[in-house]
Amino acid sequence: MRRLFVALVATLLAGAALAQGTKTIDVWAIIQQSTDQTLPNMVNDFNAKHNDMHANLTQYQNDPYKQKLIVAMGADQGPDVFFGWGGGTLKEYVDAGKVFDLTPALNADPQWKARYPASVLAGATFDGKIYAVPINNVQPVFFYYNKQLFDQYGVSVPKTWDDLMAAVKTFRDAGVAPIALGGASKWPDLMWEEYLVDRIGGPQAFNDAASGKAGAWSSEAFIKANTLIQDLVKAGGFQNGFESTTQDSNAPAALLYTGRAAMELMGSWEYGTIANAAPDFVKNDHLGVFAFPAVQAGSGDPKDIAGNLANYYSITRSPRSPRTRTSPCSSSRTRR
Amino acid sequence: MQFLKDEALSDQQVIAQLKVGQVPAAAGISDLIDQYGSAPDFQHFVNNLVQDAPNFQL
Repeated sequence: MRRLFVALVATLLAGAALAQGTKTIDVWAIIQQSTDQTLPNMVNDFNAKHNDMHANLTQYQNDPYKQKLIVAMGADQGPDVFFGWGGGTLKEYVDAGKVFDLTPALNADPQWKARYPASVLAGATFDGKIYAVPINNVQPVFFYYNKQLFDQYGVSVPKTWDDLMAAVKTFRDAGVAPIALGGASKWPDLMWEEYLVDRIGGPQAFNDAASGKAGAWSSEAFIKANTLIQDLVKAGGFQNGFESTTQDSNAPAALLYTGRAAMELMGSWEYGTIANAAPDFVKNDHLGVFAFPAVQAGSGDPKDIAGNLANYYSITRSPRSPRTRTSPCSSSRTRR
Repeated sequence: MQFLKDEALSDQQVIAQLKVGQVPAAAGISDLIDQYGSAPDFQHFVNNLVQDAPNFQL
């Protein structure tokens, strides 16, 4: 009981520290991995520096977050600061007038703007206006592989699509899932489409589709890319039941580090997932990485990459209301 | 705005991210990877992949 009383007093004192007049900043983000402290660190550091402002971080699982943000923004109930991926999804919110233009503030503070490579800001720039700044790591997509399995079955790192298909056959014949895929989450499936279309037709193929050019989605690059994906599925390229495996479950990474799958195509963030779940697997140099292979006769540059430039934070243009914390009892929401 | 200016890839955040094996989307970090990176081989692989890419398909 005494402990409970002490905890209660401590909570009230902490709340009292957020005195009347303290502005609260609601920040929404996803959980990238359970032990990733980047986003909590940002909030904790900010709160330690400012007595007149207090940031509250709420984190959600990836897929539910996207849906929650759509609904909240549509109802003008979005947070003050929201997490995103730049590109098309951010542009939809920009087009709807929901995102604050950061350009004047960045231009007024060249030292702040210089932190970010122009190529990364480009992912959040529309009609010359910057609507977000990067907050974490660059996130290209590439292959992770289990070096022990590659050594055991005499497989070399694939340089071409034909090499990859040969590796698929070797592993499938040996009873090992060649490639782990969180197919139920859908977005991991699209990584294959992004890479193959680019390798076959170069960036123009996707640019045509993005700009709504007639016939772009049925161009030769898309047809051939999807034919190669069909070939890969028919060859047993992915683990049995890949269609019902979600990426949020981290099952694809687990298949890799437990030796039940040889490869996984995923973004750079997967390294942290694997390193946290199987530190010895990484420490003992059993984890390898390689770039997406070239596709013979394709016109795309084999050095092109797909993925996310980074994750970004944007400011909601019309949040619920300017909030002022008026009561120590108005505690922050529980972080998931 | 102050939150973004203070925290979005500040020096402190960049170093913290390098120490946990990430490659922050900040300008000029190659030397910092050697200095602070916890997985420098992996971090240089990622950094080079991005630096060398003629196109980054979102």
